[in-house]
Amino acid sequence: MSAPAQLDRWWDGLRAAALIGTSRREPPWPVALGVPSPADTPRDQQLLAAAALGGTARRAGRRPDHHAGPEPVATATESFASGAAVQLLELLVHQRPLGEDGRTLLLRHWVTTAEARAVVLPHRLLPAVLELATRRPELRPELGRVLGARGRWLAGLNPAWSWVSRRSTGDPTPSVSMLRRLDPAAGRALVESTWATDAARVRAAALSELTVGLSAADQDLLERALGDRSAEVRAVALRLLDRLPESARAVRLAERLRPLVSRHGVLRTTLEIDLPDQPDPAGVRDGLTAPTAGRSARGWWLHRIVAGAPLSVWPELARTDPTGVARLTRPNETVRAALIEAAVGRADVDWCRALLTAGWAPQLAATLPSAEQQAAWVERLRAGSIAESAHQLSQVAPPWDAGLSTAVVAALRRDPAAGHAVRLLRDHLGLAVHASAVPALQRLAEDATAADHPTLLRDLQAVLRDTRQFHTLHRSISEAFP
Amino acid sequence: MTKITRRVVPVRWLDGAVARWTERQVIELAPDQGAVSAARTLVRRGPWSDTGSTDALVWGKCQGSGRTPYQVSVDLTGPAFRCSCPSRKFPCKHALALLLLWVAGAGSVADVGAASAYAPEWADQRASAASTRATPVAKAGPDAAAQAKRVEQRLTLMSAGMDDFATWLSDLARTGLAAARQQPYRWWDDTAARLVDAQLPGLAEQVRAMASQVARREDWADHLLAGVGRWWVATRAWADRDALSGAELADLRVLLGWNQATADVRATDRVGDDWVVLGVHRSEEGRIQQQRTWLRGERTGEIVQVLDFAAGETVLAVPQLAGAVLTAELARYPGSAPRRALFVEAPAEAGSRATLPTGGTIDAAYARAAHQWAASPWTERVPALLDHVRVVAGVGGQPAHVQDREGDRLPLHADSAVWLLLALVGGEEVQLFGELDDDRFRPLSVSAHGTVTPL
Repeated sequence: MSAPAQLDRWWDGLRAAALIGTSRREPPWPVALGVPSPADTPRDQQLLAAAALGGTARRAGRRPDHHAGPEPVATATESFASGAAVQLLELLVHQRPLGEDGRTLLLRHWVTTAEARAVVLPHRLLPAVLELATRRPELRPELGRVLGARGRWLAGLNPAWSWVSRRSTGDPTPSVSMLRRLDPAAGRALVESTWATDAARVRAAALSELTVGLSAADQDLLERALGDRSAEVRAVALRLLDRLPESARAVRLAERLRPLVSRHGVLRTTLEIDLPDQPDPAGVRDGLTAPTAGRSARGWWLHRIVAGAPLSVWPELARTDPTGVARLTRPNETVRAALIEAAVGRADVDWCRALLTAGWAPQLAATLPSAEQQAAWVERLRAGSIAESAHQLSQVAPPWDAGLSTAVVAALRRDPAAGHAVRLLRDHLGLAVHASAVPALQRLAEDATAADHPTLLRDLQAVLRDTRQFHTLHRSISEAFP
Repeated sequence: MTKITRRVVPVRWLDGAVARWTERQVIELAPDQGAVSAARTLVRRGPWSDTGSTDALVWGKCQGSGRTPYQVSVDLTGPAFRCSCPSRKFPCKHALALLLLWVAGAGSVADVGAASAYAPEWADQRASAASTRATPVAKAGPDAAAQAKRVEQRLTLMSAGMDDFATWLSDLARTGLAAARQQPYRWWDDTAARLVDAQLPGLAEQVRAMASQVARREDWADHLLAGVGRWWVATRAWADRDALSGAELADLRVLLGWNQATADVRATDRVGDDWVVLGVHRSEEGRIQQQRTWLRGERTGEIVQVLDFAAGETVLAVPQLAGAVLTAELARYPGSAPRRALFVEAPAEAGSRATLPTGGTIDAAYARAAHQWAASPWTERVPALLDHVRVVAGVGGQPAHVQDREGDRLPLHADSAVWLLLALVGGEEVQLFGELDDDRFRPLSVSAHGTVTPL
């Protein structure tokens, strides 16, 4: 046996004796170390002396582990962000001016500007920025190139940062969602591979992951799932099929819809929509299940039919375009609600636009592209009170364009309950208000005297401070890159 | 922890811009006169770096007593103050100083200071700190007889304490380590308290530390066994102290916590040289902050460590930057390598190096450490310069490690900033300086591409 192995063996023996105590076991002396054991000393002192010798021998005699050398990593030539740009980045990362949301917005601006200038992050800030983007996924899309070769290499070493690379390193079983992003067919195949043996809970969860990359190609699996034993699985399948107007189920529901809708009148057309009768088993399978408590059964079935049928059926039945359909179906609350659900779920911009003409629904506006969404809001604010819509307005992503900002300020001026609206919007206004609307906001603050509206004044001043801070930082970031 | 304070002040608008501030307005914001005076001491280039401003925000970094500079920013629209210093004053002296600088600079804060600006302030602080430390010792009576009596009493107390401790160790050996592990913390703490009473605070601290390590570590048995072995040697060495060499006795005194008087050290064993700063480590043990600065003499090649302590409100000396070269005379404390030293006078800046001095392989570092541990069993950490090493991230719960060209590996200490190190180093070969602590490496400086970076 080699000397180190001998020493280790002896030390194990000493430890064993030490654990139970010398009153019960004699400690072995390390003869191999060449030091004579102290004569005429009690066992406990022999143990202590042996421990001293052995401890030193082990520590001093330790040698490093040996392994094959690692692969060298290629270095890339990149230009780094520098000077004021880096100072501003550090400020954003470590000090969080304007709170978490403001910081996220400004960081995104920084990253897009840096990308446009083809510079990368200084190495020492990589861990902090990667941490931030792990917490706030909104930062991730633009970050790729700005991380640079070093940043991407670094991210590959930490499983928490695996979102950086498309391939997840070190994860042997890719999740369905991840796979769906790269190759939807493969993701579906993964779900199907274990379908027969998975528990109901697992089947339901796997099926709902097909939300990512959902397409008509998935309908066969979903159709099968309609007949599943588990109610949870069936519910998921129905929910997903509602979003596939080309599916066989949608066509079947269209067939149920047709006989219910009739068009009347020549000068002033109206649509008469009957309620469906008790569905047959096939209908139940297609989603016409028992209604939730308190709802009329036939109304519920109508809703399910309209929400699942293709929207293209309606122009055919009403013999008019989507805008016309929206107008004609407006009096029928059930149908209108179901149409809205279908249009939003399928992200059908044309139908959302059309349905908006017949009445306001914030989720319709939210589906439109940003410029249109904001224009829709301008219309809404002209018509209604801002205090009612303040909460929904806060969902409109900042920054707002000039038109919406001006409309919001004008609405605040008109509304006697403006204080409440400002309170609700306080955190968002600072980041969202366009620079051109700031003078109007200032005038609003000046007019809100301390005597009559102290809270409103305070809130507006806070908004003005945030706006100012946000815009100057935004501008400084743009100017900081050479 | 960054604290944020806001004062609601009506925002004055002048042609769309925030009105310029005056010094008086800044002073009005201060919580008390003390904050103003403290702020004024910081209104100079020395401690500030990375400063800048927009018309709504002023920012900068101020080197204080912490390990990294405090990040300070003032939101002019509020005003609101942010600073990472631990002060509870609103606004703190750093924020006030930054504002005063901004006012003085007529609305812009010039970008300040490279590392060399630190040395003069550092020197002033050390000189004043050294003189305050020297004074109390000088006060300890010119009466030689009285002093000798005090020492005699102390020795008696310590000997009694060491005998007591030796008995405790024997009992521990007899009843077994497993039984010791079952004991409550109180059992260890009582022993530590007795050691403190016997003027053996260093040992007391070790006993308390061992208590938590036994509870925490997986290899607690090996750790405890080696620990009691070292403590046993200490009791035997104390009993036989007249036979010890000067260095051995000095090492024992460090272990026991019997400090050498600074004035005594200053007077003997001086060595003048150009010293390269290899690396600096700052830590907090309870309420005491400690700073270790490792220096290597260009001429002699000897590596020494300068220790600074601060407690409560006292401020640690500004750390020297790794790679800097100082011309200075040091006085070395007695003891084995690596020796502790102090600056006799303020060091003079003599430029900086682009690389650290030549080091060696991991195996060579272990071999050198082996000599040092064999010579002095109570030494905890030894300095190590490693050339041509890569940093490899840990996988599957394993710690990160460094690996040299021979293929030898050395795991990193748990308190290392691994991700920062990896970000700075990448997959490249670099030179590292750090401390070898038992079987772990604590990196303190990186040298690559012609720059030395502290960690």
